[in-house]
Amino acid sequence: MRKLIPLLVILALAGLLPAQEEESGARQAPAQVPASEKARLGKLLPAPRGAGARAEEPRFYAADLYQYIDGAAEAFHMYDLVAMVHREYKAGDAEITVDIYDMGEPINAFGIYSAERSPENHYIQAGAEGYIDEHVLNFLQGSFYVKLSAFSDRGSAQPVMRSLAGEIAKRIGGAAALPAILAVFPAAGRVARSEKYVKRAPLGHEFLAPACTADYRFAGKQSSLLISTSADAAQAKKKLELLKGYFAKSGKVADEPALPGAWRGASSHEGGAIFFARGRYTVLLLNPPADAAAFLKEVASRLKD
Amino acid sequence: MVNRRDFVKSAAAAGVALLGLRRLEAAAPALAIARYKSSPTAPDGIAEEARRLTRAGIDALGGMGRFVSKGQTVWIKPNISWDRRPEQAATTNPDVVATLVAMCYQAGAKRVAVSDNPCNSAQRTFPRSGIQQAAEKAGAQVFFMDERKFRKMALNGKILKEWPVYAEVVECDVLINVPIAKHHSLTTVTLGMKNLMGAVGGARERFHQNTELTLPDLAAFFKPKLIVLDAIRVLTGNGPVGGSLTDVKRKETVVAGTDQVAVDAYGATLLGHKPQAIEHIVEASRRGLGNINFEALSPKIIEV
Repeated sequence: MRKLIPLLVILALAGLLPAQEEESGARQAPAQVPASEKARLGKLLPAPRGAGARAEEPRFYAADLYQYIDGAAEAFHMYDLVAMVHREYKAGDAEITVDIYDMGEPINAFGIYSAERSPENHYIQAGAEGYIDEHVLNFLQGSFYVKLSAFSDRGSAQPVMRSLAGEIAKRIGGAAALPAILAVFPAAGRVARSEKYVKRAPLGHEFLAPACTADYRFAGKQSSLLISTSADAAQAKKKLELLKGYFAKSGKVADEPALPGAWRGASSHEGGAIFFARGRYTVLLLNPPADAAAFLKEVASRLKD
Repeated sequence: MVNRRDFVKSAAAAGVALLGLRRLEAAAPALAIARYKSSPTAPDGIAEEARRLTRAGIDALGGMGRFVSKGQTVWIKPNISWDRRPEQAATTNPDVVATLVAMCYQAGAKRVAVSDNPCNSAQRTFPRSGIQQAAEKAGAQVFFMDERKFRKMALNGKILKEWPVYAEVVECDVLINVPIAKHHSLTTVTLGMKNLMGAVGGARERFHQNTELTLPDLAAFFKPKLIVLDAIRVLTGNGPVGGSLTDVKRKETVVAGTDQVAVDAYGATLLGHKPQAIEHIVEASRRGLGNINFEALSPKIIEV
């Protein structure tokens, strides 16, 4: 397979390979990882440590990520993967794989990280956020999504993963913080670690992309809050109009008296919803509780342009 | 020297045997679903579960003798694509594979080979999955695919006209496809048809641009004689790579069948999907490669 890389590169450069990512609107990763990006990623890789520790030569992937993770690569490309580095280490009886994905922007790194995590994971202090289990440690830091995998026959591989994660996070540097947009989601009632950044067709609506979402539990019932980001207020209002049109066509829509400027819609597919635009944001609360107005006012107050 | 009387006698005997075989084929089910009543947690218990479910599934189809005859060569194609341990449910359960190897030899196979063209390095995936050790212990020849042995072949599919295929897969007498049931971020599920991608080389990422057509192309070309789906542990999210144990669920099931569409259709339900919502299963059924309505085959259910 690796022998075919040069051929693929030539075909891609010649435009002979179908450009699926381009068609979907996502930025296309380079066919070949530039030397500057290799250097940037390479600096994040710790040197092998300890007696007898060793590491394989790092491998870099971008548009050809499929060769390493098959169809899972599609999700990384959807979140605008720039490039990734893969390196295998051996320390004692532990075998460790380090995969560092450069997603270009922190919000994209959060997008792919949040798509893969589950609220049930065991979360630990690693980068801005991370989780661990017997063989896997995944964490997020800045524009990078880092995935470690380790196996040990004699004992737990967790200590070695934690140590490597700490060193990689330090090398990435910057603030260990999640994207600022997440602070808009009120904490009360929010299902921990349910926040996601959806780059394509949130709730099945392409016009709402991109958006952040989070799940809430109000009086035992689940609601979902979606905040769609636009370039400006005009675009946010256009999304609002599209939402109104959608509910008018598929169910019903009317003014929401408890919240000036907001609309209440209902359809057989989505159920009930309240939505409004504020600045360059379009906000949608699915399955709103009876006293949703206070909650949404708080959301609106947190939205700053 | 065979005289005419002997010839007529042996021809008649062969005819009766053939007729019997055909009746057996007609009477034998096309799909068997073996379920374990308990959910063992210890490795030995899970290994025992895998062995018993695999045997039960194949026996319900009429036994391995229905598929493998004396002196034949068998190629077993598990999923060995990922650098993952069995408990991570990204690769086929090693004891399912080993049991099949043993059953093939018991049926008279001359040679049983086990291999895959993995995404991660074979040097890591084969031992990590446990398949290499288990299959070799059962007598199989487990090998890393040699790039020189891929030959461009005419697939004559809707999308795949020609493609490099591992020569031994088409040269063997019997192909047994042994996938694991998993989520797949692109095709929603990866089951039998998707597992066949491990029998080809070339720029396999191009398959992903039309999986609803390319996977049925592969299924139509390879036509495995037997499909054994490992659904003891299934990967319900972040597939096909997986890794996190949070994504692994126990289904305690092994599905065996001769209808690759029906096996995938039932497998999709184990992952919580309607087969009618999975494009490549629908397309394969549309092409007549098998029956998406697996219930119409009256699957034999075995509780072990």
